[in-house]
Amino acid sequence: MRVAVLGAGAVGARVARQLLSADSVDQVVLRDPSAERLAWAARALGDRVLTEDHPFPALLEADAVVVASPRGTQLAAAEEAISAGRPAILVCDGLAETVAILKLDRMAQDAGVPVVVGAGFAPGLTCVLVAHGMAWFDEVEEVHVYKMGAGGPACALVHHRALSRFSYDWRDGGWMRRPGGSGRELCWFPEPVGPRDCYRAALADPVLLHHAFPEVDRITSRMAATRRDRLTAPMPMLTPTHAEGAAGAVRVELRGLKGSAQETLVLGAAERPAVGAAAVAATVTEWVLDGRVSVNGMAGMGEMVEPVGFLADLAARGLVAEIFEGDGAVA
Amino acid sequence: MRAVVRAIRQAAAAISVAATVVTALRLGGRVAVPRQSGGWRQLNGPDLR
Repeated sequence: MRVAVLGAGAVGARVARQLLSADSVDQVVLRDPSAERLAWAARALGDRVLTEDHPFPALLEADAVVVASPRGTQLAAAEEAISAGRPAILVCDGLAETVAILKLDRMAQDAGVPVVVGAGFAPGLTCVLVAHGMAWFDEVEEVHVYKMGAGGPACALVHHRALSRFSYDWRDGGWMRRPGGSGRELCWFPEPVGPRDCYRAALADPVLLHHAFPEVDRITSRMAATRRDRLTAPMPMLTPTHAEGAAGAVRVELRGLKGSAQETLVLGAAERPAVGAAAVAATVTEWVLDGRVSVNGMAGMGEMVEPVGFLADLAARGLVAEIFEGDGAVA
Repeated sequence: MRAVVRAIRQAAAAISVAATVVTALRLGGRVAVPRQSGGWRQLNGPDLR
């Protein structure tokens, strides 16, 4: 098996490492415009990595393509993979780009290849946690997603901009547009993150979750931010982005009916976002190669994988989901 | 000159009244944190069936 990984950043390099260390692939083709990053990755990952820097060869010879390149490059990469008839795993987190990629649904169906959209920490793990939580209820009325932290520099830029863009929440049959940075909520994430103020932002989770679970009345998303984040969101990033994010976390909250009782379920996970995203992307890549995914076309993680088996595989990689147990939690 | 002094006095009075009101609201709004129960635990065998 041969997998192409586009992007050798904080997530892409880790995806390559995880695929090779699990011996789930024979070779990884790592593409990145930075020769310096590729040289570092080649030294770190050994001789089973084939590196390709700019200008890239026209033909991408691989059994699957993992797209972990920065925002703005993923749509073209998805089109190229689908045109070549290759399954694609997209670690995208920008709202506008995710919406644009979902419009390639017909193309993916016609090609008959699985295309996993949002195969990262958030969206990605969040969608799997929601899919897992759905089984605990008879009817789910509300889904709320929260995330904290960013991965590498490309992810940090998306995170920064999301607060100054409009968020889209699904509510009673329509999309509600609300300003990013509004709607503060104090949320408890799994340790070591703990309580954080979260705000609306241009996040892709509601779009993917509505695609997967159209029957849910209300789907919202928020991200943790500080006063400085909100103040500086409309400006260019004033300081250089960090190479690697600190501790991050995701949290999903489902509300609905179990029997005749109104119940709430809170699931989450804590990990450095780039590490979490790489674990999710590498695991779903293995599932795609093994033919274990549910959709031959375009879908998010909530539709694409069977959540119990997927969470067990993620736990084996060290990314363990958690449940909040307290007043009102589902027994 | 008298008008200026009067304006300064009025401004000082307004600021002190506002500070008093804010202090009263902040102290009045402070409530004891309710006892927390529960917490996070890892999903394990029975949760993953």
